[in-house]
Amino acid sequence: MSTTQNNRSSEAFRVPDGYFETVNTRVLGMTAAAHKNPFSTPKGYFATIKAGNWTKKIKKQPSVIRLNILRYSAVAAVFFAVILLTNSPASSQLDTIEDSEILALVEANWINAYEFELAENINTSDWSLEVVSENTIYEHLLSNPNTMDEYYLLDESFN
Amino acid sequence: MSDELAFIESLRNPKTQDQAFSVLVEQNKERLYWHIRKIVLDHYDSDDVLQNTFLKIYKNIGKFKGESRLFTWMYRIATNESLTFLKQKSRKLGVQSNEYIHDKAQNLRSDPYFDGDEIALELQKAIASLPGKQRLVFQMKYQESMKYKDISAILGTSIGALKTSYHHAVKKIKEKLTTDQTF
Repeated sequence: MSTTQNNRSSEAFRVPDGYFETVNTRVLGMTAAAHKNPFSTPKGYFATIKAGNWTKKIKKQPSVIRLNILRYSAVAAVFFAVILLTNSPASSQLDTIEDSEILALVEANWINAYEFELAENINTSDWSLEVVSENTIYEHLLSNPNTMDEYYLLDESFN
Repeated sequence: MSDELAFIESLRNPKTQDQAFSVLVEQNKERLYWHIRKIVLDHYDSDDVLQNTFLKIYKNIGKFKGESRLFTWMYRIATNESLTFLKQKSRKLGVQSNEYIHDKAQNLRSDPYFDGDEIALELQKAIASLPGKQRLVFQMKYQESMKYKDISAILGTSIGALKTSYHHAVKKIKEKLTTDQTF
């Protein structure tokens, strides 16, 4: 292999012939690639995006959530009772929620929440076993929309 | 700014909100889509996230306090929806968000809606290998040519911290591309 010798005699590292001439080309290529959008969409995709699609859905959404609340309430009550029974006083609120099935239920109802969001907004220590049911959770979420609607950038992958 | 305030008011007014929302969607659908697409990579996933983003915008416009620009607020929602989506998807697969996006980037070649050449593919892989925050900052600064001031408002991070993240991101991408392509 033809090579270019490093000027400093104490170092024996070499590069392929013409290597440095290709650097500019490659770097420029990368720069151009970075600014050129390599992603595409199906033909006519943006024309299909209409506000009406979403507004109709939003207007229907409350009934969907409430229907799902009823559907999941019995199951969730059992889950939550188990959570409270197994929750030691030393456990943090976040652990309680992370260990629970609440998130799965919340997700199943189109309400997206992180563990920390629920932990920050729902004080589980205030709840006693006899009054807690899954409905309590949902009533709290529905009457405190900020729980779901505040935006945090605290995803662990973000930090 | 007064135009924006008037527009926000029309979004809040029940009599005008549907029409105003149509305008908002028309004006912002493409740039929000591309912002989301760069984060989640897949077209169909981006379509889902875009839908969720507009749903949140519509539902929460009443709570928008006008302390930031509407554009910034919408980008913040789109960013969070994208991150939430990645987290949920990766949780279902039992992996971390970073691993999930890394795998997605590795498989871009077979994506029918990825038209990049080999260099573009390698660049996407290199971007996907960055930690979450650096990836976002690099994408917004370099690929979307956004100003630090706007990125700072969207991500709630100081400009100094953004510059540091961007510097690290560029360095890592250069190293990765050089390592992968030269030797």
